[in-house]
Amino acid sequence: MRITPRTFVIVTLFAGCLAISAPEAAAEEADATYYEHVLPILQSNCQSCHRPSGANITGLVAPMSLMTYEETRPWARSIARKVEAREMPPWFLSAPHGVFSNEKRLSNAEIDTILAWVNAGAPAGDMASGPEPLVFPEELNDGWTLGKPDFVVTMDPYTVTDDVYDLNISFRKAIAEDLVPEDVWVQGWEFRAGSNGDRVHHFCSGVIAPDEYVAPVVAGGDDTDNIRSSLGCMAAGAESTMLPDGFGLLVPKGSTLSFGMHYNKEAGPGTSFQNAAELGFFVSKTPPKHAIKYARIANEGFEIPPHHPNYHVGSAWTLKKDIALLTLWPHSHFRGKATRITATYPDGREELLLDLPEWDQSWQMTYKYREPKILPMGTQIDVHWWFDNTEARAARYNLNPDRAVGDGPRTYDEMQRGFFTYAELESDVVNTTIGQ
Amino acid sequence: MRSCRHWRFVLVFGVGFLTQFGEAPSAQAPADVALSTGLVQSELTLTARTARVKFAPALQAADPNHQRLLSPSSEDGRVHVGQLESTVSLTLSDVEVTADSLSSPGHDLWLERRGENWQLQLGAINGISEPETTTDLSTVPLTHSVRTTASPTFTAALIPTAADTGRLLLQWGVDQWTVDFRFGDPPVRERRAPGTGDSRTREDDTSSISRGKRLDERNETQLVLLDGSRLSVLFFKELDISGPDFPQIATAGDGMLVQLTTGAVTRLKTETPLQFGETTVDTDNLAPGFAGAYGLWLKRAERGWRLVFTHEPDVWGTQHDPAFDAAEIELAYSHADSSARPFGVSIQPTGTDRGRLVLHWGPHEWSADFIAAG
Repeated sequence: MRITPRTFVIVTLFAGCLAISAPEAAAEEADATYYEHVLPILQSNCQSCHRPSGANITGLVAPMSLMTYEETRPWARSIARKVEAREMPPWFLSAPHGVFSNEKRLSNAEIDTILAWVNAGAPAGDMASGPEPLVFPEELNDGWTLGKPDFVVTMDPYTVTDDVYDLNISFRKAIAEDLVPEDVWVQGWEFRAGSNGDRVHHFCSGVIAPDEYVAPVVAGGDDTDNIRSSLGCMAAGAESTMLPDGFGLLVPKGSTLSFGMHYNKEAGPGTSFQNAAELGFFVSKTPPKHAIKYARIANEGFEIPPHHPNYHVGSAWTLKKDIALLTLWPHSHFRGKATRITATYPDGREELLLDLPEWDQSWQMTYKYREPKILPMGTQIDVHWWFDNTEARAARYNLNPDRAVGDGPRTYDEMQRGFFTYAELESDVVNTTIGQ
Repeated sequence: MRSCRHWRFVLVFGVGFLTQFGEAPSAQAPADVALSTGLVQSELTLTARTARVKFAPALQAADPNHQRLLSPSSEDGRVHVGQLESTVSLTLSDVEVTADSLSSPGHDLWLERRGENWQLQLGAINGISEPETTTDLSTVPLTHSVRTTASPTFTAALIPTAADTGRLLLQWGVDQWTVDFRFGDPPVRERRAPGTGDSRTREDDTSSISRGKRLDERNETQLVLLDGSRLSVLFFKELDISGPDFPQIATAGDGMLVQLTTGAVTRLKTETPLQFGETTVDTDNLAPGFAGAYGLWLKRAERGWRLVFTHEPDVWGTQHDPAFDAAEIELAYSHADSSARPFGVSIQPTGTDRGRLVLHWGPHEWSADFIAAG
């Protein structure tokens, strides 16, 4: 795959700059300093979120800034604990490693360096020995993490009133002709939850072509359920989408965007807020070879029994065509505790695509392949979820473990989902790739 | 969605609707006998449309009054046998009964004999057991046959036959009657206009939404016993004989399970322990105080077929894990006819506390008898 400037930015931000950051060996305890040893690690793995303010990832703001020595020093012991426990950076996959472009995972040497620095008293060292401060794309692009979008569509502002606790609501917004005067292929798009984005549980969108009638959503569903050109969703911890070169999504002139919003807050006086989510689009520089699609592999018929500690719910999809798989996004709610996605090839071989043994609803990442994953027709993709409906889990998230739980729209209901971005391929592409 | 909620309401509370049953007097029929021992209910849901038939199992075939009706030399007569409800219109044979008149409390059913012919009379429930006093009475011809085995009490069951159709099966003594029916169009689901939301609180009960989603992709058969215990089987829709999985029936080798690549595993839920021969399928297998829930897998055996129960009722139809196997029973197998039926399941009552679990797919049919052991 050719690396364009744009993909380079993403890799720089989200793949953790492994190439420039990972020292071969941990600094000796006595030598470890902030500027020379620790700052490069923080720049590569932490500062994209740990900044004073700004959009950060789709509206998420980390609780403290780690941009300077003065900001970092008070948190030194906490940082040591978090990285040693591998709770930070937030990368929850146990496997596989090295296949996703947005992998955030410290090497053992990097962890040892941080521990050595903390054990040495967290010294600053010589500022001149450290790298230049990072400049993030959004600082230059009005908060957009992928660069300045070619066009932005903003939903009409909506006020979530005091009495609302949990609200699923969808809106539609025609894309103005001056924004898209003719059919365009887009290579990337970025969700921005907008003001009060911390109360947006998720935000899904899709492109509705002018000749494509899509009935409004069925109560309890998402407005993207029936839309052919889904853009996917943004949820806590999720990132923006930039497709590899050669892949794109058609936005016909005169299209309408759906904004499927899920708001969640405590109800009561003074809790109302206004929201106007945005979508920024990045137009393909050259016509893509492959139109991408969006698949949802789901089991919506489950019933998690009361107090069950490890309830398995599965779904699967057998490919009817050869595909290039680009992203995986597993999704559940509070009771989701672990997920695993596998591919079983027509010859019976099974490959682990993703293993997430400790799911955290606050970190719903989209796992982006460095190189498109080629899967031949007949491959079966299995999505496994395990749910915890015990008292302990219930206490953590204020749930009721005495009730059986099924698929539902509220955060306190459950979902069993695997979302996939992919493109169908001609057979010769697959055969060539597999042959290589 | 509200219309769906409505029928789910009916579904949930339908079991509590008990009516006194009795034989409708006619010139030839025996005297009216009130039957107050309760009703057994067979229910079928196809694409979110539900029909249920309730019958009085206390109608004994050996009762001299009934023997007079069932005897080959009998004169004309009729018996009040049960009730029928549906959430949409039903066409039984070629007689359409509209949803308005079928929705709860539904129709009384009379089994009627006219010489060699049998028919079913339906009249809106009005608290009067005389069909003649019922307005908009409908008469549906029944196909009658004589079996080699006898049902000591009257039973009624609804059996799926295709995406929109089913069969009402009545059995009493050695006599059996059937009539095919077709559901009317599914209720139009209420759609949410852009800009209008669904606002819910933490305390709201969203189980009806979950059930609606469940029935978007699956069909369901249910049996409600006299004590109110409910047995249900959810089975995936659109598992046609032209699909990718059906050929396994012919090709599965000894010990192999039939995989469903396009659907979740068939799901049994039971509020009472079930005894299949020597094998008990219990409640509480997943959580104390919770109904038993099992995945059902067809397994090819050296001689015939078996049914595997697993403790994972919500996996996909390709995700069998033998570590979670709970029980295995032998199935009776028959190759019925050249039927093209999609995969379907029915729980057919055979008495007040017993029934038959029947799975079918195309011409293949598998069954196992059970007793509610609760």
